[in-house]
Amino acid sequence: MWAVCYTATASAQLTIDITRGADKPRRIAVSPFSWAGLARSEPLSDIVRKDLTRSGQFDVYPATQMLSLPTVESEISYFEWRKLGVEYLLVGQVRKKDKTHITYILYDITNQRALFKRRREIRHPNAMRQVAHAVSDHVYEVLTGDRGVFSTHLLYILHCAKSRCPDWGYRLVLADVDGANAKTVLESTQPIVSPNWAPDGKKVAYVSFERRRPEIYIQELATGNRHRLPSFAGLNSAPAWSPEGRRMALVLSKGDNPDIYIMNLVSGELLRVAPHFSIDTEPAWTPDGENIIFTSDRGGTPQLYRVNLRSRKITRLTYKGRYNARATIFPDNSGIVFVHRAQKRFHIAMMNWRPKNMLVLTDTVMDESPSISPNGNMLLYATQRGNRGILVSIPVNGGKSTKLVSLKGDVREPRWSPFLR
Amino acid sequence: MNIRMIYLTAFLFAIVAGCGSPDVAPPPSDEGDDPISIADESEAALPDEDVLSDPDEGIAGAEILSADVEEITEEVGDYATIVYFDFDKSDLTAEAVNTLDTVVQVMLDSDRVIRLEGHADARGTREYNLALGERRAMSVADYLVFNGVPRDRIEPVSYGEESPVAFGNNEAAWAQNRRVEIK
Repeated sequence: MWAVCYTATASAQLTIDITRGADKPRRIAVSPFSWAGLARSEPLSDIVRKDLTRSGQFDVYPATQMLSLPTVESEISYFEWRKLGVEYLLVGQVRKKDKTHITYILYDITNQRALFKRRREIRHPNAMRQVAHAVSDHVYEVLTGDRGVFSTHLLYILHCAKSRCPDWGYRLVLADVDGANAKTVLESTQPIVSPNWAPDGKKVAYVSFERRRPEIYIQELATGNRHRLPSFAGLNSAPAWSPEGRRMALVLSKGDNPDIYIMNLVSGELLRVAPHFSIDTEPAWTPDGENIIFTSDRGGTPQLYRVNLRSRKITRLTYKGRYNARATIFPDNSGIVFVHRAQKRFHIAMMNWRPKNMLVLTDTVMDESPSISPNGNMLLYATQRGNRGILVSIPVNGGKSTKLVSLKGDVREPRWSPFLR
Repeated sequence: MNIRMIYLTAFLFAIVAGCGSPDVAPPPSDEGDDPISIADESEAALPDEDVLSDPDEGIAGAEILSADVEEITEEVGDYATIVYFDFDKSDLTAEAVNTLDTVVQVMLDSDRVIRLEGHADARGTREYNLALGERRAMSVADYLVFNGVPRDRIEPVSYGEESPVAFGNNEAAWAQNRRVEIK
């Protein structure tokens, strides 16, 4: 059963918001787009198909099994697509006259009608992949009611053994969510760890050992300009921007035990949060900016705690298992994902606040660094296959996983960007 | 001559002559953890697998920012005296104390400045392991200071799990990586 409702968006466009139980992914076909007036530069429909498949919300009909390849409505046989069990069909054309445009139309096969038609100018013909991701975002939003994340980006660390890559060893990489368009943000022969996004998606923070000790840097992605945060003896690690972007939670040991601090990025003022003689690390802000969830072994084993920044009240969140660490909070603050150790294996687990239950999400081992897509629907994490570090993305509500591997080395510490527009 | 004495020799030699030989690390007794077995799948790209594009070729003409790194030529483990720890622990073992007593003597007989590089094994989260490596380095520092070594001649620093000396997902490798290197 479905609920269909019509809502007017800010741009006064009529969108159709369809929700239904996550029982069965809806079957969609993406017919290859036609190209006129310019050479086909990227397999657009293929990119859209892969995007929608990775989301876990669609059963994407294979292009090889299509009986016809329509690019306009007159070529569509609704009967034929219905027999194939296809519920939605996307067709499109790329045309160049003076300017280059893409036109794409999503058809509802069951009701034999167009759900939307969109014509967009392509200003940068060498950014065709971005065009495809924007189409995927549009289709996803119309059919699920949630914003698509196919145009967002990833940060990750690429590590290559010294013997193979004597010149660098560590790279901080920025890429599209499908791993394409990878750009090196920073490279070093010394470790780079804990990359994280500013909430505006324009800056990143990370820990670099380039001065032979861990120190936090902030770097603007567009310009490459960077600066080191005021650094203290011992650990300077685990930077996490506050939701409004003016403060940074971080971990300092100052020659003693590691504690969570909040640095005001304007004044440089430091505030120590929840001090304890144990290890406190991995701070993560709740979306309202009022709490920090962190890992502490103050109870004897690493567990997750929440500190309210106003009342300073500290609440222990995890009890099941002897190792629960590195929380990431869902964008709607409905719960967290974190690293959970069970039967001597490390998995990614999820815990909702209401009802408060825990669910292990991954069946690989040595899983770490969970990151949630900005729409809350996808989980990305790092794991190992053989002795190789790889990334895996899975739909939070279950579904097939997609592995992201690099032929160059180990991939680690993925961080999904916020929405970028 | 036992293994610890070999380390001591290497350490002393490093101090006196400024050179030495790489250590062969002895894994300490473990906590009884079973190794995690990871199925080694084919390296070929599977249907549900995407190959990340190579950042080298990702952007034409874009400037890659390189960290301003001073040339560091030493190899991990070179010239180092090493003490080992149990999983998620920073307490000094009896064996570590023996080793450190020798280090104390060397420090008191010289004016050398040392770095204490704390490390963790690959299990658990990276930031936690960075903190754990720090706590291990501090644990060694505290022992040295308690025994009379001036604090300003000791520089503790943590590398977490980022600089392993042994690779592989088994206790033998992990045990060698849970360490503080005294350089």
